[in-house]
Amino acid sequence: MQREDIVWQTAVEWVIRGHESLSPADMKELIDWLKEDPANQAAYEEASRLWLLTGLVPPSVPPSDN
Amino acid sequence: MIVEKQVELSDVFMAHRLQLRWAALKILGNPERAEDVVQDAYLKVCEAAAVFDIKQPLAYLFQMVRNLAIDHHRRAALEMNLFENEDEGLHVPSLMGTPEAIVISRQHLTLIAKAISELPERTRRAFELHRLEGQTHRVIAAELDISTSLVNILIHQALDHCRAAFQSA
Repeated sequence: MQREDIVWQTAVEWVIRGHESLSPADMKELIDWLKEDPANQAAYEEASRLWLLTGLVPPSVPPSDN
Repeated sequence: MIVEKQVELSDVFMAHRLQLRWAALKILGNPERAEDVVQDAYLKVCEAAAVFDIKQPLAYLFQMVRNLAIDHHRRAALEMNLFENEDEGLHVPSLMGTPEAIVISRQHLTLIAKAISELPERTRRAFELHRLEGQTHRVIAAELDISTSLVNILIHQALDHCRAAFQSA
Protein backbone atom coordinates (compact mmCIF):
# COMPACT_ATOMS: atom_id res chain seq x y z
CA MET A 1 0.00 0.00 0.00
CA GLN A 2 1.16 3.51 -0.75
CA ARG A 3 1.61 5.96 2.07
CA GLU A 4 -1.45 7.99 1.05
CA ASP A 5 -3.59 4.85 1.12
CA ILE A 6 -2.30 3.95 4.57
CA VAL A 7 -3.15 7.43 5.84
CA TRP A 8 -6.66 7.19 4.36
CA GLN A 9 -7.30 3.71 5.74
CA THR A 10 -6.07 4.77 9.17
CA ALA A 11 -8.36 7.81 9.09
CA VAL A 12 -11.34 5.64 8.13
CA GLU A 13 -10.53 3.18 10.90
CA TRP A 14 -10.48 6.00 13.46
CA VAL A 15 -13.78 7.36 12.21
CA ILE A 16 -15.37 3.89 12.39
CA ARG A 17 -13.98 3.34 15.89
CA GLY A 18 -15.16 6.79 16.93
CA HIS A 19 -18.66 5.43 16.44
CA GLU A 20 -18.32 4.09 19.98
CA SER A 21 -16.72 6.19 22.67
CA LEU A 22 -12.95 5.95 22.63
CA SER A 23 -11.02 5.05 25.77
CA PRO A 24 -8.57 7.71 27.07
CA ALA A 25 -5.67 5.64 25.71
CA ASP A 26 -7.30 5.40 22.26
CA MET A 27 -8.01 9.12 22.32
CA LYS A 28 -4.37 9.85 23.05
CA GLU A 29 -3.33 7.57 20.21
CA LEU A 30 -5.70 9.37 17.85
CA ILE A 31 -4.43 12.80 18.89
CA ASP A 32 -0.82 11.71 18.55
CA TRP A 33 -1.60 10.43 15.07
CA LEU A 34 -3.36 13.69 14.09
CA LYS A 35 -0.42 15.74 15.35
CA GLU A 36 2.06 13.66 13.42
CA ASP A 37 1.23 15.06 9.99
CA PRO A 38 -1.20 17.60 8.47
CA ALA A 39 -2.01 14.92 5.87
CA ASN A 40 -3.40 12.79 8.70
CA GLN A 41 -5.67 15.65 9.79
CA ALA A 42 -6.85 16.23 6.23
CA ALA A 43 -7.65 12.55 5.75
CA TYR A 44 -9.47 12.41 9.08
CA GLU A 45 -11.59 15.43 8.16
CA GLU A 46 -12.41 13.98 4.76
CA ALA A 47 -13.39 10.62 6.26
CA SER A 48 -15.46 12.35 8.98
CA ARG A 49 -17.33 14.38 6.43
CA LEU A 50 -18.13 11.39 4.22
CA TRP A 51 -19.13 9.44 7.31
CA LEU A 52 -21.54 12.19 8.35
CA LEU A 53 -23.08 12.26 4.89
CA THR A 54 -23.60 8.49 4.78
CA GLY A 55 -25.56 8.73 8.03
CA LEU A 56 -28.11 11.00 6.35
CA VAL A 57 -29.07 8.61 3.55
CA PRO A 58 -32.29 6.67 4.16
CA PRO A 59 -31.85 2.88 4.23
CA SER A 60 -32.58 1.03 1.00
CA VAL A 61 -34.12 -1.77 3.05
CA PRO A 62 -36.37 -0.50 5.84
CA PRO A 63 -34.98 -1.51 9.25
CA SER A 64 -36.80 -4.33 10.98
CA ASP A 65 -39.17 -3.44 13.80
CA ASN A 66 -37.65 -2.80 17.18
CA MET B 1 -44.89 16.52 -4.95
CA ILE B 2 -41.52 17.52 -3.54
CA VAL B 3 -43.09 20.37 -1.62
CA GLU B 4 -45.73 18.03 -0.19
CA LYS B 5 -43.06 15.61 1.02
CA GLN B 6 -41.10 18.40 2.69
CA VAL B 7 -44.15 19.57 4.58
CA GLU B 8 -44.93 16.04 5.62
CA LEU B 9 -41.46 15.23 6.95
CA SER B 10 -41.16 18.48 8.88
CA ASP B 11 -44.64 17.86 10.32
CA VAL B 12 -43.48 14.47 11.56
CA PHE B 13 -40.38 16.13 12.94
CA MET B 14 -42.34 18.75 14.87
CA ALA B 15 -44.82 16.19 16.18
CA HIS B 16 -41.95 14.12 17.63
CA ARG B 17 -39.56 16.89 18.53
CA LEU B 18 -39.43 16.01 22.23
CA GLN B 19 -38.70 12.33 21.58
CA LEU B 20 -36.01 13.27 19.08
CA ARG B 21 -34.40 15.61 21.58
CA TRP B 22 -34.54 12.87 24.18
CA ALA B 23 -32.76 10.51 21.77
CA ALA B 24 -30.02 13.11 21.29
CA LEU B 25 -29.83 13.77 25.02
CA LYS B 26 -29.25 10.07 25.77
CA ILE B 27 -26.16 10.17 23.56
CA LEU B 28 -24.85 13.62 24.48
CA GLY B 29 -25.83 13.87 28.15
CA ASN B 30 -26.22 17.64 27.81
CA PRO B 31 -29.57 19.40 27.16
CA GLU B 32 -28.08 22.39 25.33
CA ARG B 33 -26.05 20.27 22.96
CA ALA B 34 -29.04 17.98 22.44
CA GLU B 35 -31.08 21.03 21.43
CA ASP B 36 -28.29 22.13 19.05
CA VAL B 37 -28.33 18.72 17.40
CA VAL B 38 -32.12 18.73 17.03
CA GLN B 39 -32.01 22.16 15.38
CA ASP B 40 -29.20 21.06 13.10
CA ALA B 41 -31.17 17.91 12.25
CA TYR B 42 -34.18 19.99 11.29
CA LEU B 43 -32.17 21.96 8.72
CA LYS B 44 -30.68 18.78 7.29
CA VAL B 45 -34.10 17.08 7.22
CA CYS B 46 -35.40 19.82 4.96
CA GLU B 47 -32.52 19.24 2.55
CA ALA B 48 -32.89 15.47 2.70
CA ALA B 49 -36.65 15.66 2.11
CA ALA B 50 -36.01 17.46 -1.16
CA VAL B 51 -33.64 14.73 -2.37
CA PHE B 52 -34.92 11.42 -1.01
CA ASP B 53 -38.12 9.47 -1.12
CA ILE B 54 -38.33 8.62 2.57
CA LYS B 55 -40.58 5.65 3.20
CA GLN B 56 -40.39 5.53 6.97
CA PRO B 57 -40.22 9.16 8.08
CA LEU B 58 -40.09 8.62 11.84
CA ALA B 59 -37.45 5.87 11.70
CA TYR B 60 -35.45 8.08 9.36
CA LEU B 61 -35.66 11.08 11.70
CA PHE B 62 -34.43 8.99 14.63
CA GLN B 63 -31.61 7.60 12.47
CA MET B 64 -30.58 11.12 11.47
CA VAL B 65 -30.72 12.56 14.99
CA ARG B 66 -28.83 9.58 16.41
CA ASN B 67 -26.09 9.83 13.80
CA LEU B 68 -25.76 13.59 14.16
CA ALA B 69 -25.61 13.24 17.95
CA ILE B 70 -22.92 10.54 17.74
CA ASP B 71 -20.98 12.69 15.29
CA HIS B 72 -21.33 15.73 17.53
CA HIS B 73 -20.24 13.70 20.55
CA ARG B 74 -17.19 12.36 18.72
CA ARG B 75 -16.08 15.82 17.63
CA ALA B 76 -16.71 17.37 21.02
CA ALA B 77 -14.66 14.65 22.75
CA LEU B 78 -11.84 15.14 20.27
CA GLU B 79 -11.92 18.92 20.64
CA MET B 80 -11.87 18.72 24.41
CA ASN B 81 -8.83 16.48 24.32
CA LEU B 82 -7.16 18.69 21.76
CA PHE B 83 -7.59 21.74 23.99
CA GLU B 84 -5.88 19.86 26.78
CA ASN B 85 -2.98 19.36 24.38
CA GLU B 86 -2.96 22.97 23.25
CA ASP B 87 0.22 23.89 25.12
CA GLU B 88 2.00 21.40 22.91
CA GLY B 89 1.44 23.70 19.98
CA LEU B 90 -1.36 21.97 18.12
CA HIS B 91 -3.50 24.25 16.02
CA VAL B 92 -6.84 23.39 17.51
CA PRO B 93 -9.30 25.75 15.83
CA SER B 94 -8.37 24.67 12.35
CA LEU B 95 -8.68 20.98 12.99
CA MET B 96 -12.36 20.25 13.25
CA GLY B 97 -15.49 22.11 12.31
CA THR B 98 -18.56 21.61 14.43
CA PRO B 99 -21.40 19.60 12.83
CA GLU B 100 -23.48 22.76 12.74
CA ALA B 101 -20.86 24.36 10.56
CA ILE B 102 -21.01 21.51 8.08
CA VAL B 103 -23.45 22.49 5.41
CA ILE B 104 -25.01 19.57 3.64
CA SER B 105 -25.78 20.26 0.01
CA ARG B 106 -28.43 18.42 -1.98
CA GLN B 107 -25.79 17.64 -4.56
CA HIS B 108 -23.66 15.86 -1.97
CA LEU B 109 -26.63 13.94 -0.59
CA THR B 110 -27.51 12.78 -4.10
CA LEU B 111 -23.92 11.81 -4.79
CA ILE B 112 -23.50 9.81 -1.59
CA ALA B 113 -26.83 7.99 -2.02
CA LYS B 114 -25.85 7.04 -5.56
CA ALA B 115 -22.45 5.79 -4.39
CA ILE B 116 -24.07 3.61 -1.71
CA SER B 117 -26.60 2.22 -4.20
CA GLU B 118 -23.70 1.13 -6.44
CA LEU B 119 -22.13 -1.07 -3.77
CA PRO B 120 -22.25 -4.85 -4.08
CA GLU B 121 -25.27 -6.18 -2.16
CA ARG B 122 -23.34 -7.67 0.77
CA THR B 123 -21.14 -4.60 1.17
CA ARG B 124 -24.13 -2.29 1.11
CA ARG B 125 -26.00 -4.40 3.64
CA ALA B 126 -23.03 -4.54 6.03
CA PHE B 127 -22.53 -0.81 5.72
CA GLU B 128 -26.19 0.05 6.26
CA LEU B 129 -26.47 -2.26 9.26
CA HIS B 130 -23.49 -0.52 10.79
CA ARG B 131 -24.11 3.04 9.77
CA LEU B 132 -27.88 3.33 9.65
CA GLU B 133 -29.00 0.79 12.20
CA GLY B 134 -26.05 1.22 14.56
CA GLN B 135 -25.29 -2.51 14.75
CA THR B 136 -21.99 -3.80 16.08
CA HIS B 137 -19.53 -5.71 13.92
CA ARG B 138 -20.44 -8.86 15.83
CA VAL B 139 -24.16 -8.58 15.14
CA ILE B 140 -23.54 -7.84 11.46
CA ALA B 141 -21.15 -10.79 11.18
CA ALA B 142 -23.81 -13.11 12.60
CA GLU B 143 -26.54 -11.73 10.35
CA LEU B 144 -24.49 -12.01 7.17
CA ASP B 145 -22.69 -15.18 8.26
CA ILE B 146 -19.22 -13.71 7.78
CA SER B 147 -16.28 -12.92 10.09
CA THR B 148 -16.08 -9.66 12.05
CA SER B 149 -12.85 -8.79 10.26
CA LEU B 150 -14.64 -9.12 6.91
CA VAL B 151 -17.38 -6.83 8.25
CA ASN B 152 -14.72 -4.22 8.93
CA ILE B 153 -13.22 -4.68 5.46
CA LEU B 154 -16.65 -4.23 3.83
CA ILE B 155 -17.30 -1.03 5.80
CA HIS B 156 -13.92 0.28 4.69
CA GLN B 157 -14.68 -0.63 1.07
CA ALA B 158 -18.01 1.17 1.26
CA LEU B 159 -16.37 4.38 2.43
CA ASP B 160 -13.56 3.98 -0.13
CA HIS B 161 -16.20 3.81 -2.85
CA CYS B 162 -17.97 6.93 -1.53
CA ARG B 163 -14.65 8.76 -1.54
CA ALA B 164 -13.92 7.71 -5.12
CA ALA B 165 -17.39 8.85 -6.18
CA PHE B 166 -16.74 12.30 -4.71
CA GLN B 167 -13.29 12.53 -6.23
CA SER B 168 -14.55 11.71 -9.71
CA ALA B 169 -17.60 14.02 -9.44
